[in-house]
Amino acid sequence: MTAYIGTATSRVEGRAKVTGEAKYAGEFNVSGLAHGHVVESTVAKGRITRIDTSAALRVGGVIDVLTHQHRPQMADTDESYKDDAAPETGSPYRPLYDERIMFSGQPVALVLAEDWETARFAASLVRVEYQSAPHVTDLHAQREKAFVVEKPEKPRGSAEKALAAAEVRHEAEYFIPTEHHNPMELFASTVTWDGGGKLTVYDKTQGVQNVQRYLCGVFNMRPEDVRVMSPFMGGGFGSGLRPQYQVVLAALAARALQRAARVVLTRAQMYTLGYRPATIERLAIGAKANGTLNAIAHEAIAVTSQFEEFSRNDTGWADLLYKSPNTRFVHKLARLDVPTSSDMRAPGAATGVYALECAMDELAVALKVDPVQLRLQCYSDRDQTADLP
Amino acid sequence: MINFQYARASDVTDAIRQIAADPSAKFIAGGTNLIDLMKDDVEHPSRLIDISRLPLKTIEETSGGGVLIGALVPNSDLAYHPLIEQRYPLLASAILSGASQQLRNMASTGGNLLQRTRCFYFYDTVTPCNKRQPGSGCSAINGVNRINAILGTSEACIATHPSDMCVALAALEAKVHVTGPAGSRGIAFSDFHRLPGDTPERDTNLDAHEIITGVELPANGFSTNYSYLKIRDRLSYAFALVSVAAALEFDGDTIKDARLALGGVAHKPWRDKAAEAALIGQRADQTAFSDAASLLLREARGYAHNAFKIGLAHRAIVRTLGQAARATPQSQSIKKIR
Repeated sequence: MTAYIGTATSRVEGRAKVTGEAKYAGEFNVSGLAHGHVVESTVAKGRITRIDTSAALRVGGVIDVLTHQHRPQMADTDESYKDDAAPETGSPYRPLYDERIMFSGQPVALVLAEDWETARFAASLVRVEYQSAPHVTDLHAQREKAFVVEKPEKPRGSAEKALAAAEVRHEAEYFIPTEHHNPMELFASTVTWDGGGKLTVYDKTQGVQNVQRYLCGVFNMRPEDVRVMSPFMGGGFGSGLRPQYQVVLAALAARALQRAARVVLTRAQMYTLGYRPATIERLAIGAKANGTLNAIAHEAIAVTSQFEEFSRNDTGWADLLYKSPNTRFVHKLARLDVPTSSDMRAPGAATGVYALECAMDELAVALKVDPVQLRLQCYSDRDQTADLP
Repeated sequence: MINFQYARASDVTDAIRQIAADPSAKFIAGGTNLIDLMKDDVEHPSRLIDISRLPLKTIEETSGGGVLIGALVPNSDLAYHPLIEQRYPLLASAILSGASQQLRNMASTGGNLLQRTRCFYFYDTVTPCNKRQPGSGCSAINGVNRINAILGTSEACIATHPSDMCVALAALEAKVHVTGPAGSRGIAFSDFHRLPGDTPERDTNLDAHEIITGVELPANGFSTNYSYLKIRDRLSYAFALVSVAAALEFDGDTIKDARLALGGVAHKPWRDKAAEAALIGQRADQTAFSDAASLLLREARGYAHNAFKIGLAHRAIVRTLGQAARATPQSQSIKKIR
């Protein structure tokens, strides 16, 4: 072991990556590959009333334009669309399924052409008409309608009473805006049509079995007929935990055309996938004048979609970090007309601990003590709810 | 992106003939803005007339003691040219505060003058925008308008001009040389760009078939007391929220001449003769600078997200004038603001 410390070690795939030998999902080439370009919704909520694909279909090199009205059959139960990383509660989004629009940028058509540039140009010619409905995409506008989700951390003592009696009290609210995933590699899938209805799927994903089970659900296929490969990933960070819609669209295209198909999202379309939810964090900390904590109350309000309830644990971290006899933790979700939020690097902790540590710094100012000294004094060796080290 | 024709112009006369023959054709030089706009479906020219090979790439001294910059001189060549570095360091500094080295290598002098706004809604083709589609409405006025204008706005448009170079050219009172079917003319820099009014689709007073051939700098480059300060969300590769070009001349302790131009606040580089006049005859102190800033910003109007620009501009003006007065211009490589 010691021999490795201080010694430069090449990654096993390093040479392949820097020389371009490493193939990513959007780089597997087979003859007869059809290239897809996604047409996105320009409204955030409502329904599609009409799609005119005639101008796109007239472009030389365009093979077909798939829409919810013109596509191969897909499953019609929520269970079929529920991937391994889907939230427990909710009705997962179904790509190109029906006329309902649930978020801005939702795919409404897939243009398939002999090359990507033609598909992109033809996509600009697809005309979509909507009956739009009032939407809400601002967390602050919806915070009063947020609802409580159950989390494992239970209250200890009475934070309200302890706060009311605290010699020094610090209350503050912190806002973390939405953070979108933007790894170097765009989300992409190449699906080959292997005859007899079998598919090989090269997908940008952090879970090939998840994608395989998911596609079997969506298209009612047998596991032995779907092979999913993801030899290299150009950055996941949680964005690849759930199957994204481009893999459904690429498989849909391969089944519709009975030939290989590829869908690569644009950088702008990366903003229509899962993201770290915008979160409002409210902290109230009560302390004695000597810096001993008496109460910590932490409330989080995070964004989810109208159709699924995604949440991680923002609020329980004080239990692990700082000694306090009285605590209260509340985690709420606000529904917005946006895609479902998702995991991103240290989900919950990155937002919740950020707010907690800001509040501790500000408490130190109120107490007129060194913020490091305050932490040394309040630091907990034990998880106070689970009573574990 | 739509399909388009591509043709090269053999000389300036040929370029004018070609653009006059096709109303939806566009000139292309460096392409650093036009290609983006085409990819985003904002611009869809039927034909690109490539002028990048025309002989407009020289930087020459004029008989009047000034400098004539060819329209096709790349931004980086201009910024590092000895004549510009020594006699017009305000211009060199402004150029180097903008874009990236790669973009400056490609971008031309004339093209820099003609770059379009970076207003989010101008680029987002599914939203109304009077600049992109006259009469469709302004999405920015009641939308996300943090980057938008605070001076010279209209009900039709609150976009800003994005250039840094043009802010320095405005302060230096450059002249734009143009040639068209009716011959050549010079346009004072302050008359080149327009305020939006009710025709925000027109950024400049360049006529439809005219081409910029060069930019002329007058003899006085204010090379001793100058500074260009750019305030932005990140220290590199970002457009200005507010930028200030300041240039002073002294007679002893008294300000003899003053130039002040702002970027990021209006549809054109913003100059205010009254604010400059107020500095003349004053001593270079905080009071004089602050009074000039108040005067320049007297009609500033903030919108939902950009009202902070008014206070920011005030402080940036005071700071930049101070840098100019002390002859300690803002460094564009060491970006610490002093």
